[in-house]
Order: sequence, then structure tokens, then C-alpha cells
Amino acid sequence: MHLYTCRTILLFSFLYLLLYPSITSAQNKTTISGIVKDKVTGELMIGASIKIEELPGTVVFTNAYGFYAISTPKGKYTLLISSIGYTNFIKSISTEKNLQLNIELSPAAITLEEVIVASRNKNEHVEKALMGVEKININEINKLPVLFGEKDVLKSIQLLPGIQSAGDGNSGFFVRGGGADQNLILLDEAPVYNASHLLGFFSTFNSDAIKDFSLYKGGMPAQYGGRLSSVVDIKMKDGNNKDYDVNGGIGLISSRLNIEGPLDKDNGSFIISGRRTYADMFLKLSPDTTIKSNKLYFYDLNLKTNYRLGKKDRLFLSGYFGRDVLGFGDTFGTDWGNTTATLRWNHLVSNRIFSNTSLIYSNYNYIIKIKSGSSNFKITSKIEDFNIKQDFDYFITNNNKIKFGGDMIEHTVSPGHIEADASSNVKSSTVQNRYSIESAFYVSDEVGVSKKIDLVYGLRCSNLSAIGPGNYYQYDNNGNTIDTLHVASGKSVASYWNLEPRISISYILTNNGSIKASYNRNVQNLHLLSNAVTTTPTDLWLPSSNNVKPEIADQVAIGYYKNSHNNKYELSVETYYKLMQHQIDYRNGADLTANDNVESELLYGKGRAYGIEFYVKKKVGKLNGWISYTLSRTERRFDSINHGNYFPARQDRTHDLSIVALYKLNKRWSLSGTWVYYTGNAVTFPSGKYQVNGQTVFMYTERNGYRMPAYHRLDLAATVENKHNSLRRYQSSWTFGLYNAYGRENAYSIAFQDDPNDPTKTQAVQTSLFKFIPSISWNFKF
Amino acid sequence: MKAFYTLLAISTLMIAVACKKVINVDLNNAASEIVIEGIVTNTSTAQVRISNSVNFSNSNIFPTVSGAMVTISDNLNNNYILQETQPGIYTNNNLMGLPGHTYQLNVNTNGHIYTASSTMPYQVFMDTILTDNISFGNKYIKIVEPLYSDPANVANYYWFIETIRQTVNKKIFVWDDNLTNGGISNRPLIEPDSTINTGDTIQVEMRCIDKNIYNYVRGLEDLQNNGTTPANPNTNISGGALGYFSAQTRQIRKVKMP
Repeated sequence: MHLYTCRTILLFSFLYLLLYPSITSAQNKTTISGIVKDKVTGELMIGASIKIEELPGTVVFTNAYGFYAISTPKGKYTLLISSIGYTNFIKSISTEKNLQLNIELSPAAITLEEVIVASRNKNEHVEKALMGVEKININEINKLPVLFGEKDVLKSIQLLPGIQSAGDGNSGFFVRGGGADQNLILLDEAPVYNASHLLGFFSTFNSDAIKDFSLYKGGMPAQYGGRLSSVVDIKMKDGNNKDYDVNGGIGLISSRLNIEGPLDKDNGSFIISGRRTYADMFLKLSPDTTIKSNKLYFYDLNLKTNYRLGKKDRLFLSGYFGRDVLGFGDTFGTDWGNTTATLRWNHLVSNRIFSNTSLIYSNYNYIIKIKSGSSNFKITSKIEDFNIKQDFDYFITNNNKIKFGGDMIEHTVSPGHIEADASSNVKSSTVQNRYSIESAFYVSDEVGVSKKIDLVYGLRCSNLSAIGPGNYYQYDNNGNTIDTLHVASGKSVASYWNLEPRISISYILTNNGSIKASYNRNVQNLHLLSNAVTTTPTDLWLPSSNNVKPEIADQVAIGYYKNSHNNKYELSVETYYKLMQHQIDYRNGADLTANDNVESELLYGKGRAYGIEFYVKKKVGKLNGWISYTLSRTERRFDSINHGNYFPARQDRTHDLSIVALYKLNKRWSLSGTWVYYTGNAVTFPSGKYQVNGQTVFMYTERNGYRMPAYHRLDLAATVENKHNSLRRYQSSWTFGLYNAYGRENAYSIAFQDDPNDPTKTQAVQTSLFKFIPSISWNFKF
Repeated sequence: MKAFYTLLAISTLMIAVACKKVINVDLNNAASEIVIEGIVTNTSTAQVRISNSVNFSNSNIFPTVSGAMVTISDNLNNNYILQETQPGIYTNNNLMGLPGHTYQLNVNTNGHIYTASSTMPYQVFMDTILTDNISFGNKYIKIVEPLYSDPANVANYYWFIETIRQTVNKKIFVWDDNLTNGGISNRPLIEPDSTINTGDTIQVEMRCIDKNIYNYVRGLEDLQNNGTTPANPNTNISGGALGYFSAQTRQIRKVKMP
């Protein structure tokens, strides 16, 4: 794809979109615009609906910054603003000229009968064209049982259809047959390269600091790009701009504290949210000095502040800093973590054009310190991004909204740098850095074609250029270097342009259900090299280069959606088929760490994934919850693996079932339970054995030809709140949990070895991790 | 190396909560394959062992392959025929390897021909063996550190065999000279489950191997670490056999743990 064609196509679609409104919109219309906020905290509200009673069918939603714009002919109207969990707001207006109207919604009082408060936009998932989107209500997941009582959004989403857990107690996940690295995880627009702590058992997201969580597993709008299988878009809270608020919790392994408040009432606010584990505090109690000097903890710090500069501008500054620290005495120490920072400027270009400009920084690095004998050395590695991004939301008519913009990211990957003491026998050395520029433009249009048909279509044009300085290598089929290209600073060695069309359409049926279909192309230019089941701290990100081509996925999906019993129940069935090109695997015995020739260790192949997902949810009542079931297949094909035949990918699971139930016993007590069942992962087991060097060695005949045992687990939790007293600010609650309540020994790994008691035999040994893990945590707010 | 430390960290974390048990896994049977282990050294006579693989459920008795035609030639066009001195073991008392020479193995069994080639590297000698007592996880372990000077301007590959109180340690110690090229190395042989006590005699055999064998032994090491996608190590034998053919130097030193 040439730059020229790419730009031309975008330009034409752009012109069309700009001309479109002048054809359709009448001249005598006025526009009402503004922001919608929470009355108590001042948080900007995402996805609140604005309707005009007198004009049925007219509805718009607030954008990611709480902004809306709605047009009407001149006249007197009743405006109705609503959002789930809030009391509807009704206002009479007269539109003689354009009007700016900022609205504050009050949180609704929760009654026993209506645990999740219904609101007018509750039928949104049926009516809107977007499909494959999972939204999570942070308050809802806070009641679900979790390992060690650490609530975690990335674990809770694994209970939804099409999203698979990476393993027991793990926060890693796979979406519709994609790899763990094919999920784009954004925190306030900044990519988080390693979203887990303690080797995957906890995610980096402290749910106290999160306002909104969306996961796109198909039908991704064109403003997102860079990964094949999903986008997880996490937005941090802005902070209470009305009043100071302190809340926190003390748990089995960690404690949290969250402070927020106004900087300047109604104009600015801040939030600071921190979390630290203290498993290592117990180590300190040990009488053994060696154990005392061991370290094992992680912490997270989320910061955000925003300030309104007049009526048209608002600035946001947000940051995240998290780190894991692990050490064994003075022999070995490692620490790793992410740092992200986002500076955003919201600007109202006009009452219908909203602009956001972002400067984004993201860094993931790890340090390993080793002291052995007289050798004292340190290994460091990092990936660092500088990113500039511009987005426009243009509210053309009530039925037509376009988004367009672009972004440019500079990636620096430092695969490994060894720094040794002068006295050390180990020598200092560096694997050369890799530099690349990733850029994209996009345009996306959401249009109500008729009362029954809603359409979202868009195009993303993306590029990756691998640039110098550096030596780039050319390899033969066996991975031997045949040529070295010395590339000067800033010069491009490979450049890939790709067009990514995205389209979703919905059609409302006569029974108030709807049918939706979508097609998406996604391109990925950063590839994670990992030998482990889940991501580990030392995994290496590798940008596309002269050897590594962009990964490309095409996905088609079709679904049926229906709400019944006055929106009490929500039902959806989605089926998808996905083809993936330029998937990456490794040669046998590949050395992926600190290897300048790591690209010579790679194999390229294809992937395909297909499945059907069922989801039924009861949204209201004392007992609510959902059942989700996925039937799927995920396969890969490489010329030199399994004789070039398709084989199941590691994350291939035939059945994946989750049942979630929440029960409100009375005003103070609520109970919850989850049960999950899934087919074991595809694994490679030996099919024979032989002897070399006097030792038994196992023989392997096919890749992923076996299955781990099926996984199932029941978790339970109970939460008790202190007596309600509306005059008291202080509130607290206790949560008791039991993970793996019936003590199923789920296989974490199966190893094959000589029988220690009978050297003439071999045996299989299963390791399982968590069984009957109780937890208790105390949360407070004042 | 980093991968090793990461695995170590993971396993240490896991041990805290993990539970292990022996289970039955229904494994497929596979056709028996030829396994060739051919070694030419500078300290002993050449030996080639030929055996067969068996199914997982069988006992660890590996059938030997008799009646094969085994020859080794060198780059000076000397041709040595190896005789079957014990079932499945083929030797020639006249063949001692020389550093810098390349050897070619040829095996013919029942009409199937297997060939391989290996170059014996120039020998690097251990000067001594150091000992140390390091903190590791929640204990102290005793370790040994072979000390040698790595030659600059040449890629070297080392394989160490540790014998503790006359028992060979199954753990594989193999590395290249990327970290220490042209310098002195005392990289330790770290065995997390070390059983070394004060007063024990530790024997270390140092083997200098070529790159293909380094890759093969690393493949064995990966299997030992129970990686997620195990695969047969890349053999340097063509013709479809398992195993390897290595021309290697050997040197043995001993130390008494203080």
C-alpha cells in the first residue's frame, strides 16, 4: 500500500463526510451543547444519553469527556438526560439560538428491588451498531469474589464471553483466539506494555482509580489500532471537584488509599490513588537472616488532575507509576514496571466540533541485578514511547457524528544492556536499540441511516517505519545471516502502509431485537516474543522490520441481540470468524533474550479462529448476574511445525463457561458467587522417550497434540456494609471471600520425569496452585 | 541466563502455594526411532552408541541396535571403522580426536544411512575450581565456580558436568562466551537443590563443544526446565535420527568443599 493511495482514499472519504451535513441539515436548526457531570463528585460522565421528548427517536450520547451536542429546529422542548445509576434529569428549554447547557446528574438511591437501576438508555446494546463491545461497571465487579480479595478488572472481564483467562488466578487474557500481546491495553490513552504484577497474578489497574472500562473484541472503531484482537480502553477518574473524598481498603496482601478533591471548586480537581502489597512484611518476621533479606512486593500509584480554562478549554494531566520488586538476598534482584503520562487538552472548536489533543508517554522496563562470586552485573531492558495524538468529534446532525484524527508514536526498544563492575569477569555489552515510527490517520462515521438501520463505518490508514541508527540483518531460510544493512540515524529500512476498513451495521427487528454484522481489519506492528504461557517481565517487544512483517487480522462477526421483560433480561449471541496473517512462532531452542539476531529465530505463519458466544444477563432484582458460554476453535499453521498442518493454538479452548450470581440479602448483606469451566489448553506432551548422556530424554512428535485437564472452580464472597445513616459521611464494609471453594486441584503444569523412587520408570507430575484460598478485606470511605 | 533466573523466580513464588501429585496421563504411542550418540574426544577413544526410543509407559530399558556399519573419518582423509564391542556400543581404539580437526560420522543400519559432522574446538583449560556459599531463596547453598580464561576473537561454547560424591548431577550447565568474551570467567554452577556439604569432593568436567552441539545441549536444557512448548533438540545428525555427534575436548578437575 502506497502512502499516496492511502491518503487519497482518506481525503475522499473525508470530503464526503464534510459535505454530507450541508446536504442533509436544515439551515434553521440550533444546537444545544455542553457537558454532563455527576452532581456529587463532578466526574465527567461518559455515554449519558440526551433525548428530546417532543422529537421521538432523537438521542445523542456524551463522548469520552462528557461532551454532547444535539440539534433541534427552533422551538420549545423538554430535554431528558439519563444514565444508568442516575436519576433522570428533565429540563424545559427554548431554542432560539445555539445554547450551551451543562448538566449535573444525581446518583439514584438504590432500592432493594432494583439493585441495578434501570434507565432510559438501557436498550443501547440492542439499538447501536457497535458490536463486540464489553463494558464493565466498576461497582458491579467490586462485589465479585476474587483471589486474595484483590478486586481486579482484568480478571472480572474473563467472565464475559469470548474472553479467556490465561490461567489459574491470572490477570492475563486472550480474546477470540488472539495472543496475550494482541490486546491493546490503554490507560488514559497510554499503552501499558505489561499490565500485570507478580508474574500475572494481579493486574496493574487499581480499580479505585478507574472510572470507565470498555473492551472491544470485534467491531473496533477506527480511532483504535495497533493490536490484532482487542482494545481495552481504561479511563481514570478525574477526581471529585466538589468535595474532598478519602477511601481505601486493607486486605490480606495489600492496602489501598484513594484521595480526591477540588483544586478550585467546579473548575479543577485531583485524584491520588495508591496500592502496595506487603507479603514481604511477613518475611521480615522470620528469624532467618536470609529470608529477612528477601524482597517481594509491588506498588501502583495513579495520579490525575484536571483544570477548566474558561468555557471552551480543559486540561487533563494523568500518570501511572507501578513497580514490582523481587530479590533473593544479595545474589539476585529484579524489578520491573510501567510508567505512563498523558497530557490532554480538550477544546471546543465550535458548539458541534470537539477537539482533543494528547501528548502521551509510556515506558516499560526491567532491571536484573546479579551478584555471583566476584561478578557483579546488571541487565536492563526497556520499551519507551513518545506519542502525539489529535482527535476531533464532529456532531454533524443528531443522527450523524464523525470522528477523525491521527497519531504518531516513536518507539524505542532496548532489548538488553549489560552493565558490569570494572572488577567483574562479566563484560559490559549492549544489544542495539531498535527505533520505529508508527503513525495513523483515521475517520469514522456513526450514522442513523433510518429508524431501523444504524451504521458505523470508518477507515484507518496506518504505517510503521523501522528506522536507524542500527544494523539490520538479512537471513536465509535457516536463520543464518547473509547480509548486514548499516542504517543511518533517521533513515528508514522498512516501511509498511496498511488500510484498515472497519464497518458495523445494526438492523432493528419487529420484536425489538436486532441483528448486527461487522467486518474489521486490524494491523499490529509491535510483537511480543515470549516463551511462557503468560507474559513474563523479561518478554521482549519487537517492532516490525525488514524481516518481521506486520500482523494482519480480518474478522467478520454477526450477532443477535434482544432485551426482554421490560429490559430486565439481556440476551446476545455473536459468532465470528477471524483470519490472521504473519503470526509469529520460534525455531526449536530459540534464544529470545538479549540476542541481537533474535529475528533469525522467528517463524512466520497463519492463524484462524472462529466461534460462537452466548450471553444472558439478568440486570435487575435481588438476584442478578449472567451466564456466558463460548464454543470456539483457534488454530495456527507454520510450514516447519507439524508438517505444515494446522494445529491448535495454546489458548484453543473448545468450551468456556462462566456463571455469575449476585444476591442482595438485605440492606447490609450481599452475596456473590462465580463458577467457571473451560476445556484445558492445548499442550505438547511426550509420545516416547530415549536415552542420551545416560539420562532419560522425552520424545515429542506433534505440537499441541494433547490437552490439559478441564478447569473448573467455584468462588464465593459475602460483603457486609455498616448500618446506613445518611447523616454520616463515614462508611465501611467487610468482604469475605473463598477462592476455589470446593478445592479443585486444577493443573497449572504437568511435568514428565524419572520416578525418584524407581529409576526404571517415568512419571507425570501435576502442579496445582490455589485451593481453598480465603480472603478478608475491609474498605472505608469518608 | 535471564530466562533461567525468571523461571527460578517464578518457581520460588509458586512453591509457596503449589501442590504436586503424580497423575496418569494417557499418552499416544509413537513408532520407535533410532538414537545415535557419537563422541570423539581428545582424552579417550571414540565411541558411538545406537539405541531405540520406547513408549512413555515402558520401563527405562532402551533396546540397543546391533549390526550397524559405523565409520568416522577426519579432514585428513583418515577413515576409522568402529567395531561393536558391546551390544549397541561401537568403538575404535585408534581414534583419539585432535583439537581443530573435523570429524564425519557415517552410520548404516538396515540400509538407513545417518551422517553428521563436528569440529573439535581448540581446548580452553580450567585453571582451578573456586568454591562459594551463596544465599539463594531462603537458604544458603554451596556452589563451585570453574575458573578459565576465554580466548578473544573466537566464539567458544562450554559444557560442564558436575559430579557430587561420585554421582553425576543431572542439571545441565552450558553456555557461550557472550558475557565474558576474551575475559576470565568464574561463572558458577548453580544448583538450587544443591546437596553439596562441607568435605564433599566435587568433580567438574569441562567440555569445549562446537556451535551445533551447543544448540543441541541447550535444547536438552530447555526440556529440563519444562518450557511451555517442548520440542526435540535440534540434532546435527541428518537422516532422521535423534541424538548428536560431538567432537569435544575434555578436562577434569576436582575440589574439596571447605
